[in-house]
Amino acid sequence: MAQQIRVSKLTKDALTATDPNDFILHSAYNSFFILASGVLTSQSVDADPKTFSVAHGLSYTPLVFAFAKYPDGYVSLPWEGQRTSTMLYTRRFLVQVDGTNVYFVFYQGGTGTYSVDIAYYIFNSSL
Amino acid sequence: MTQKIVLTKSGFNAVTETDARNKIFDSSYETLKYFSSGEVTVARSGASASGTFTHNLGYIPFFIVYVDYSADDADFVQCPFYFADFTGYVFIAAWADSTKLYFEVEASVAPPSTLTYHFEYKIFRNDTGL
Repeated sequence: MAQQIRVSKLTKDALTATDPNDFILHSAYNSFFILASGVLTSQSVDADPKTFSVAHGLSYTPLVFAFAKYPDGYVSLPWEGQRTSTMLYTRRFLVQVDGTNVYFVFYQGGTGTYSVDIAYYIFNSSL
Repeated sequence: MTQKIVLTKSGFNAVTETDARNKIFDSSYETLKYFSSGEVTVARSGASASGTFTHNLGYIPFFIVYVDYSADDADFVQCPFYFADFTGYVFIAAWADSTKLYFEVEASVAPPSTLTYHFEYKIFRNDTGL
């Protein structure tokens, strides 16, 4: 029998449980972990679009995720705009990634220059 | 030397493997840690509607939100979600601050009858640092 390392949730039996959701860690299943994360503060969106980038230093294109904090103080998911504005013709951002960099592309949406904070996560999974 | 726990995929050496894609677990790296998940229902009878969930973490956490805008509560899409055609548009989104998640729907017109949106959220303990 193949050896496994299993850590189950409280009340679940690590020896007999079969649902992957019953485990905190199971050596038969890949875990999603964070290779790198960071925050870019006070980035000026002074062009439309304006692109910021971070070199990820990996030999492949990783799965990434990011959030942006707009001047109104609310944090947005990719492709969302600032909460306290009309949803059409507003600020937006998207996340792109290739084999070298993670890119954060911000749009002014006709609102002029503004400042954002960006949080990003780079995971151990490749695209 | 710093001690750590490394589990690799079958066929890879945990002592020498450097490619994270070949690892099941590596204690050198942070993971996403669950805090809360659930559903918030938002009913829209006008052009817009909203709902909230209070997490009270005191910081802005890593979060993901899906929404089911159909009646069967089974077809979820990741937020934000846009739809537009010649009749108008609808925009469904979620935001966060240090105390709440905000779920909002904005459309170009009010629906003929009330529409219900099911927002499914996952909040992790990870502080975004924002």
